[in-house]
Amino acid sequence: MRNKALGKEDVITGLFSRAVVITESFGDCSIFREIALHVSNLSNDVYPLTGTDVYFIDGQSKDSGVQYAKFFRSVNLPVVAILDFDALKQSSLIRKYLAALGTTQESESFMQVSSELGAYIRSMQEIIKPVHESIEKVATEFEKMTLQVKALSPHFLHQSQRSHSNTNSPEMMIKSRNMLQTSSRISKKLYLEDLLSSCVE
Amino acid sequence: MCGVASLPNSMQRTVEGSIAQLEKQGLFIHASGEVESLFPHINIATSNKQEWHAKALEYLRSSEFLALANEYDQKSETQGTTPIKWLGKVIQHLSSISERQTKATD
Repeated sequence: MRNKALGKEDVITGLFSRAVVITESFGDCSIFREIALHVSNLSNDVYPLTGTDVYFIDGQSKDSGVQYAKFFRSVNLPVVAILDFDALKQSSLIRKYLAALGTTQESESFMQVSSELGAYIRSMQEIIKPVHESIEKVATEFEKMTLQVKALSPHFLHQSQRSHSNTNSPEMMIKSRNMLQTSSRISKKLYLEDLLSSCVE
Repeated sequence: MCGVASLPNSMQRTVEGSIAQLEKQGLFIHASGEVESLFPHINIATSNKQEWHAKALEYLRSSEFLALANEYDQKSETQGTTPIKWLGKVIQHLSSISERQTKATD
């Protein structure tokens, strides 16, 4: 195998399966593989192949998927590719896939649609651009504010610790004990005075 | 297909026609929202792909999925393709290539 872009394990496992599906990413690959296992259980249609006969490959990108398609086609293994919707605007990429999958017919109508779609997406990007810029500005401001709050918090923490430690200082404790003793003495004196006056009466 | 539905009406039909042409040639196009629509209960932003996929796979392997997917497929019968039916179409296409090759070999 000369092409280093192709994963050896994928190629070998693919060769031992009955058909191959090339996907763009690991996520797509694992989810499609799992759903495919349910296809024959859920559908009323009867397929000669089931989900377990098909090997799903993570092509890692749109471009490297073409290499897998070429390889499996060259060994006469049934192969298809699944691409994301955004591939439609890249007519050259679609051409490469169609060639790799062994399609000789050039679809003029597709090329027309591809260019229209590309123009539409570009016009939408122009509309979205200012909105996107505003969102970015707000996000930057928010980030600044978060940093400011973080910078201030140790200062507040220090202040609060200092005021807490003040109430627990030995001087403050002596002061408060003295105040308690004085108030106790006053109340005792008042009580005695009350008692004495009641006895006299 | 979610991606197509968001296009202006005039463009929708031509794009759908074009996608159908590509499918006949073994190139299947899917909208990103299409697969995610099977997992309405997974409350993770799809931008966080790694976490989303881990949750989705965990769910796909649960027995709960079969019942919901079956129900979902029946409900959307009139609304065109669903992820399961759509993938069924992919496997159907591979099956037909396989049959053609077998006949050619015989």
